[in-house]
Amino acid sequence: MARYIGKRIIYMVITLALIATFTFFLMKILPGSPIASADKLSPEQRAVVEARYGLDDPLPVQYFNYMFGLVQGDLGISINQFKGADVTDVILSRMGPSAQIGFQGMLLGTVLGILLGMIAALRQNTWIDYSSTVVAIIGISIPSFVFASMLQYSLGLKLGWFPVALWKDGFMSSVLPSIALAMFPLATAARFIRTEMIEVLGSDYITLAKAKGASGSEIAFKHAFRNALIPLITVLGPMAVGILTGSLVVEQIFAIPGIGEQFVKSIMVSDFSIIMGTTIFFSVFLILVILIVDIMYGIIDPRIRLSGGKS
Amino acid sequence: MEKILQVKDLELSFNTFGGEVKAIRGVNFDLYKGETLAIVGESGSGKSVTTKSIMRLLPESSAEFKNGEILFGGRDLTKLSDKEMQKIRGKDISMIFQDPMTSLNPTMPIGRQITEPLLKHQKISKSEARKVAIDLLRLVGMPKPELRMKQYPHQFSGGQRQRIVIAISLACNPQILIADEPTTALDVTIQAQILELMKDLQKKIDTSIIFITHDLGVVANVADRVAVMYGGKIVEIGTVDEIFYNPQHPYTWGLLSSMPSLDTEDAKLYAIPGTPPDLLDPPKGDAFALRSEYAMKIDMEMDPPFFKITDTHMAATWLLHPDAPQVEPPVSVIERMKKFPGSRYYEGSAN
Repeated sequence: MARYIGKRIIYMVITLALIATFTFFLMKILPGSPIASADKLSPEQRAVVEARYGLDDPLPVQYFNYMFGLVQGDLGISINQFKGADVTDVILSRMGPSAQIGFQGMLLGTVLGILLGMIAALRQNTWIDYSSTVVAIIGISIPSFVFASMLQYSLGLKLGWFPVALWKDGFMSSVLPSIALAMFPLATAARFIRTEMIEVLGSDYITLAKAKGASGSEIAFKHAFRNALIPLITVLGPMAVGILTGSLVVEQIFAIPGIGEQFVKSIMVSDFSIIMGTTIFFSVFLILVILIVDIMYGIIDPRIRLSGGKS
Repeated sequence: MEKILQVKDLELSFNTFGGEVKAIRGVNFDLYKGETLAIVGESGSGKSVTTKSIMRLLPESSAEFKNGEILFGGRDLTKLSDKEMQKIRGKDISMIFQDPMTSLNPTMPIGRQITEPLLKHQKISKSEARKVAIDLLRLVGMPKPELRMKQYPHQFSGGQRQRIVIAISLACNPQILIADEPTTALDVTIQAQILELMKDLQKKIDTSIIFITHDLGVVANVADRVAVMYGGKIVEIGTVDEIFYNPQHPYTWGLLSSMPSLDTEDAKLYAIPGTPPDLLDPPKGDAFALRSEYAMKIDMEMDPPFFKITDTHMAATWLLHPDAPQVEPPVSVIERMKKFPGSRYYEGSAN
């Protein structure tokens, strides 16, 4: 197991280096300059600013300088968005709200989705099942920013239960964005768990469990649930991606000073170091999620438990 | 002998989109203490459904008892609530399934799967249950049971898994063990081992076994009595010798003729012509008539009642009616009947 994780971490580092390289050169291809109102500056002034941020070096030199800093954990400083601030500090300070709504949304979505899917499977072909299917279709087909606006209008503006936008009221401010983010994982989890539960409930080992005298709830929770979870784990990774990319837009709509909102802005103003830093941060996060998913597989399903340990 | 289970006039249907499928159409049999009753018949004859209905393992949403009763310990199992059935399943009546590869939970250590019925039905602690489970594994011939308790099903072979399923089924010393084609999915050498094991265990714990199979070779090996099912009904029931050496129903003749034997190597293997009846719309009269070369006019009109041949042997065919003409069974069946005292072709002891 330890050996496996070690191997995975080496792969992670290689993946990250590749991502950093690609992003770096893609960014350099982009038109526009991080120096605000660049046209108004005289060539001399411009040269001074560029020299200050190392933008006048040849591209390979810039690349190696950046990668060298990256290895040491230095993501550079913000060029224009947060003038001169350390990128790591910017990301860390912006991470709080994003992590909060992302985590709340993911938790709410998966837990409710699993419940909904299980109830639908156990009450197959009843109105409960049909309504859960409708919820799943809505959740998958309507993008999170539509939910965001609808929530703002109904629960925020009309009923006034929650603040419409901004990050001022702590938890209350996080409710609407979390709900908006939860819809996709909720729908996905409900759909997967329903399908899988129905299949598992029809399998021979469930009949054997029944033949042992197990009750309905014992069958659902002790025998069926764990087996039905396996495919859901597979989609949890991409779902986390959904939450992340979804949060870029949702944070914009709710004016939350999160990492997504800052990421979108940094692209608009071509703040190279912020774009790089955020991309790398997202990548690390994603790769970690995928590793965790792979480890969870082994915990849930002994058949794919990683070899190398004592068997 | 003590009757442990009585199935009386059992009728059961499945409600499907196509209509009502009459899967069991009046089944009667008794199960005696300590005996092995084999139920044989082709696919769709209702043998599995009959036993699943005893355990009430059929989907409540579509399966419906139409008539009859299943008497066990003074209670009618068709009338019990699911809660009451849960107390019987796995304790008094337990079951072994066809495919050991799929009948164990892949994400649960086998130890827990064996202790589950113990903890459910008996007031014992976890550590005691563990001891019982280890003893059970040893009983079914599993080497190093202590080490294997924590392992998962995929770490066992097919034959070992069926041994585990048998251990589970025997955990609470059931009065009735239903084995639904327990050896069909296993290769022949393992089949023999599992059959030997079941025979051994039956002697040790004195349980009654209902053994479902379509393999007549297995029947001859394990059964005391045999019930032949066709089209949702029992058409002939008797002791093993009676069914094998003095069969009366044309369907039983067909089954026995289609069994390969050592002296028929050059001949083409016999197959019963036609297909099983459609139970969505069962035929009038004898369900086998359309496939039988012995069918008479009355077979198309009226369902034959049971005619008694001996106290233990009954068959539902009009051929046994006093007014029916004498017919000659197939040659291979006559050969069998020659060996059976009491049959009309008996030639005395072979010297």
